[in-house]
Amino acid sequence: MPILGLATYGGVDLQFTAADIAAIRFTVLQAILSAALSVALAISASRALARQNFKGREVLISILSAPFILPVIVAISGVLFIFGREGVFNQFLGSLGQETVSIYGLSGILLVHVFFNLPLAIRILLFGWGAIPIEHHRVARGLKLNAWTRFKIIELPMLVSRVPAATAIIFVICLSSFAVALLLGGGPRATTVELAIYQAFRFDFDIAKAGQLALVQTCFAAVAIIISFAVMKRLDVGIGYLPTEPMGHSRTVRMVDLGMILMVAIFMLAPILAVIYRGLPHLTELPTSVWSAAATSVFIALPSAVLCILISVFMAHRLGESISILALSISPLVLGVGLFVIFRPYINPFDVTLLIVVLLNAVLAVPFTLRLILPEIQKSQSDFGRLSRTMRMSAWGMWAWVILPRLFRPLGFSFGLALALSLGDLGVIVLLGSPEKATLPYQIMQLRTGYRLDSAAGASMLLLMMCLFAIVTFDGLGRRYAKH
Amino acid sequence: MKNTLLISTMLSATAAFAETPVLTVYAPDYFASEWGPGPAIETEFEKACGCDLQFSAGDLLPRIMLEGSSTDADIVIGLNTDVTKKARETGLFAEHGQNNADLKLPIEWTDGTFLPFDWAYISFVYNADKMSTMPSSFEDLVNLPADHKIVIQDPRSSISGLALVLWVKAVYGDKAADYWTRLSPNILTVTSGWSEAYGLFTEGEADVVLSFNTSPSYHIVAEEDETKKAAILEEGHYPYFELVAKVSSTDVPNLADAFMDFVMSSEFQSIIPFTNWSYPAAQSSDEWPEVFANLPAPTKTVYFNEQQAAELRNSAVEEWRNALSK
Amino acid sequence: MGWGADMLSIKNLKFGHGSHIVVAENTAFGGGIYGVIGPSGSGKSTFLNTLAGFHDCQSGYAIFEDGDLLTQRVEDRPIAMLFQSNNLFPHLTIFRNVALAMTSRRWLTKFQQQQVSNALDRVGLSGFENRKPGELSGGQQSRAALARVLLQKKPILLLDEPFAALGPAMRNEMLDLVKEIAKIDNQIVLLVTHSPDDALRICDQTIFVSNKRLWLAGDTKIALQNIPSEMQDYFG
Repeated sequence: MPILGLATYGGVDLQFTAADIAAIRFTVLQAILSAALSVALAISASRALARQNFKGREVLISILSAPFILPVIVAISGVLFIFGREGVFNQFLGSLGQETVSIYGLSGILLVHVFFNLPLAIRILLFGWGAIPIEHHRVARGLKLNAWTRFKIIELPMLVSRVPAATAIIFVICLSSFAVALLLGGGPRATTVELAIYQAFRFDFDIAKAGQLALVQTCFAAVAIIISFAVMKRLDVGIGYLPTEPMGHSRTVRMVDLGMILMVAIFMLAPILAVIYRGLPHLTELPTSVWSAAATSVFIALPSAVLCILISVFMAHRLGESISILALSISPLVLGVGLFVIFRPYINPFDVTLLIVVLLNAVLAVPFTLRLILPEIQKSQSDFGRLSRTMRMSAWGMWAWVILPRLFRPLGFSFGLALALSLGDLGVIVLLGSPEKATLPYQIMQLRTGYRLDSAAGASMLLLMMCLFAIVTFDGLGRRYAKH
Repeated sequence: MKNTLLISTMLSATAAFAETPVLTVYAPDYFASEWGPGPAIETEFEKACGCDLQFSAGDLLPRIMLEGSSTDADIVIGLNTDVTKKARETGLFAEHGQNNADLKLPIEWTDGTFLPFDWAYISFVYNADKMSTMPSSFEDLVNLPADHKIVIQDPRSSISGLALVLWVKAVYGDKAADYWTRLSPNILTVTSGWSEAYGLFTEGEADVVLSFNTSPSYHIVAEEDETKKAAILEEGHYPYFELVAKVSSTDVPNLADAFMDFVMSSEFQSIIPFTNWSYPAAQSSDEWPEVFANLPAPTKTVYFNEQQAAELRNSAVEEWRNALSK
Repeated sequence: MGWGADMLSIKNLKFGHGSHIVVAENTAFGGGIYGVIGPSGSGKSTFLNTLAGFHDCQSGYAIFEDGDLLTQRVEDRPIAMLFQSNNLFPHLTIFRNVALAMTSRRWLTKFQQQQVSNALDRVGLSGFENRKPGELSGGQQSRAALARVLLQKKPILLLDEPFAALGPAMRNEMLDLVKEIAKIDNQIVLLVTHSPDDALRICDQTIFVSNKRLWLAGDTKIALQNIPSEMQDYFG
């Protein structure tokens, strides 16, 4: 349905200026690089996490999801605190007598994109790792297979079944990246299609052009999705639990793995800590409107997350997933306008704002939750499909008794994720929101445009805490009530 | 400057109607926000008019253009002259009916449709503690030491960014592209909006930010911080006027007119400085709060009117983009 | 005579974790098939996994050929193990799955190829070389896994209910196959099963695991006639 909004734009006159072409080229380039880098890093990191069992591993994994759920500007602020000109990292380099590093440029964009998307990639891959039967590992050890063979036989098939979809999702996310690219790109060289759409719409009011650009963006996304799904094999082996028994790796391997985990953890957590550090002192001075906005956010996020899970369950198949990822690529701007145009003749969209926000938040979180629960649903269906039929179980029965219990683990995390994504959403609410029905991210934005950056920092910290709480709690619940 | 008494008498007539009439004002997010002028204005006006003033926040221009004559808006507040041409062409706006002579602006205001309610000069704001030299001309900016970085906004997504590009164009004319090329190494980065840029500035990432010459007033008043200063450049500054206009198809014309009157009143104008951190348009400098009157101000004004701005916009932005993309 | 002539002696062995620690009587196992029987959760699989090295023991020794198994790396132990499921790698052909016992290289020498064919032949799977596990029935998969275990030529064989998912006829066939193979090479075979019938069929002796204790009960027929009271409910 959101795609319908796009279809309302007519004019097949493809008149892109040189600037537009440059924007398209740059957008695709940085998206590909970001996705590739994120996934490559995720493969190493998730491998290390899967192989080494240590106390608090599960909690660490939960917390590492944090960057993904923050509103862009909050996370950027944290990243800059660490990696910016005056950031901790540069100060550290300075004390060592080294030259400072500038984050502005393609490298900065990649850094932040990886920062944002690594959690998702890791999570998807970790679930894949857990799906590998423990017997495979044991057999491999018993047969004294070397590391390379073990990789080829055990890990590679799993990776092939997970990596393409993860890459596609991240590619699409980075494709529609807007403020990040510009701010960290260092200037107009780093223009993305989204910005061009923005300009076409807000300043020139050239709807046709905005629509065409949006279409181009969606086309690239579609191509990415098609490629990745073509690569993935049909068999998907569900999710599982990370092995807790030692896997017989040498001490060097263990050290390397732990080192990698440590580095990743520092890289991802440092900016988060920065956000906390900046915001904590101002937490007590927050005006009441911020707290009520927080309440509004929760009020919107809960039904949104529930809706999201329901939708995911209904769309739990290949086609559904493709559509949902495609929806991700549609810029919120276009989405909002599309909705506006469709609904205006009937009702004023601003009256049913909250409803639409709930709906849109749900839809936008679906690609992620789907990617997380789909494997398990597919596996359950293939495992138990025949069995339930012989037992004459209705579809509902099979769902309730067979599939659902196995879904608790991914559902827990997915629900927490959907909740956190909705809490932190800024795109949708900006289009439709108003000061009276403000959510927390909206309030943060208001504070920032009103010069009150300290309060904004405090509110950002509050938001971060709420998102983390959502994820850790529901992930934990999912883990606790999960059945093998 | 109109008397509130006059307004209220005029409106009591309207208030004779049973229902509370609603005045719908479209405003930008920062205006209608809790920390902007919106709430105070709403309270003051509702006292006098006996009506219900409702703000609708969001993107002004696109909304108006999408909604056309079926718009709910009675008043639109927050556009600036660099974009009014398009707004005017919609034919949606009516005469504001106020006396332009009452405006106290650095230029003469002749527009009968769009009325400025506050203004400031586009300016580079810097942190005096961190600068080794205080820039006082455009050339000074180019010659800043290498570790002094400037952050600006993208003219394609930010209205203040657009004003900057037009400012440079006004000062340098044909040599604008060359200036941008020379300034480019000192530019740290470009953000999509004012708040991101200002955030980078206050967080220490950038030493100089494109903002308004009135920005320091916030820091002085709310944070007791006198370190942030606006650079006054000898070539002159570009003024940024925030405008209000009445929508022709309004269903409450009397209320709308009353609001326009209210805008020029001292009640409205006095709310502006400490909520919108700009100069009130209908008050002369001796009526401004002390902190505003004491702010360093440019001696020279360079300005493109709406027509010129519209014509020059695309080429100026393209020059800028080209220079910075090298 | 096979190479499985030595004894596996366990001494002071305690395994398990948390509140489920099982104490094993000091025993020695020689060549032959031992059934490991006990209620669910009593630690039968844990016992095997500890011997194999996938779990750590709490204390004790498992001596075989003058070395303590429990101090050796998993890869080095003279043990081959068959699990209940997932013994085969789904993406490899049966041939390659079985060949893994000898080498991980794709290219096998003529001799190696012959070995694989022989093993498959012995379990009755000739002709299935190029199929994938997914194309085989449960019984056939078990046989393929057994073929691989054969090729590993380890003196100690641990079977963790490997035929549990098979129908009775197939299961009996597999059990007989195991007996046949184990007898020829005189391996020490520990077979975890929850069915006394399985034990009666092929196990020379029986090991009971129950109530945090593990002990060798001796000859199967006799042992199963004198089931300790604590396990009566289990056996019915």
